[in-house]
Amino acid sequence: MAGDNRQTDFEKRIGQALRQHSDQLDAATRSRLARARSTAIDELRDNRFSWRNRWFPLGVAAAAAVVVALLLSPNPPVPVPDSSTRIEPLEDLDIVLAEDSLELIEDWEFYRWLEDVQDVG
Amino acid sequence: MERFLAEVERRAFHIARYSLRDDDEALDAVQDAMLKLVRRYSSRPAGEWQPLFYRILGNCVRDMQRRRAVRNRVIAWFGRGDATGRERDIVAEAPDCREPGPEKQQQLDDAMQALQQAVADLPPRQREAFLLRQMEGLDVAVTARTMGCSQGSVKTHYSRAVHNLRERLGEYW
Repeated sequence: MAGDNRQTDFEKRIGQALRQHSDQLDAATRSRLARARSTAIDELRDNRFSWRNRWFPLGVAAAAAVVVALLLSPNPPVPVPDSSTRIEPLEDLDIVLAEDSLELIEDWEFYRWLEDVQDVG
Repeated sequence: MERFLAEVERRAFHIARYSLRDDDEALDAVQDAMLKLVRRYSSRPAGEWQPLFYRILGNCVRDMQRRRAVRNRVIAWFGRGDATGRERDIVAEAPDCREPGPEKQQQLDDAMQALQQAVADLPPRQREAFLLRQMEGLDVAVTARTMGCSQGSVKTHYSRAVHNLRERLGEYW
């Protein structure tokens, strides 16, 4: 046996004896071990609870700060777009869509003829 | 986590006691290891808890041994008490859990006490490798990770431990 995962009979015997012996503990020691475990588990629960407690108020405070900032801040300045890229508002939409404009398009040939006549005249 | 701790606590106590030879200090070491595991590694996968726990326990045991050595030196400096470093005899102090019974039971108890004493007397790394492999049932790879050394070192420590135990316990085991 060179220490790998195979075991001789001697190793098996003493290993089994040690494991069996480890279960035989007096009541006082068992109780102290149980208390130690309980202390550790309590701490684990406390830690989880305290993290929840710590983050929840922080989240609420952050949300409240954002709301207050939005309510109290003056209207933010509207950025003025560059003239070259400015998009005209749709104020002239009604003009574009007016009926006479459509008539203009429909009578385009007429106005071209009229213009030619005037030039000749 | 609670189930894991409940499962390992007794063996962990014995492993610590073999090194520290003191019940109170062994209990303190186990509790320290439990707390540290919970504080630092409870979010890790459950499969990693066993090597982590025993690594922490090993560190706690070594810390206690160092503190004890310093304490003994300080006491020796002031010339008080027994600071010869003589360790307590766990065989003599072990609770007598023998049931009144036949001679065979007496022989088994003697054999068990001899085994405990022999394990306690192993060099620290041999004892650690042997107990992790035999009591905790860790394989070579996990034992190496727990002890922070190579698998080759674990095999060496373990085989030397078995050799020492066989030489010493041949008549009993």
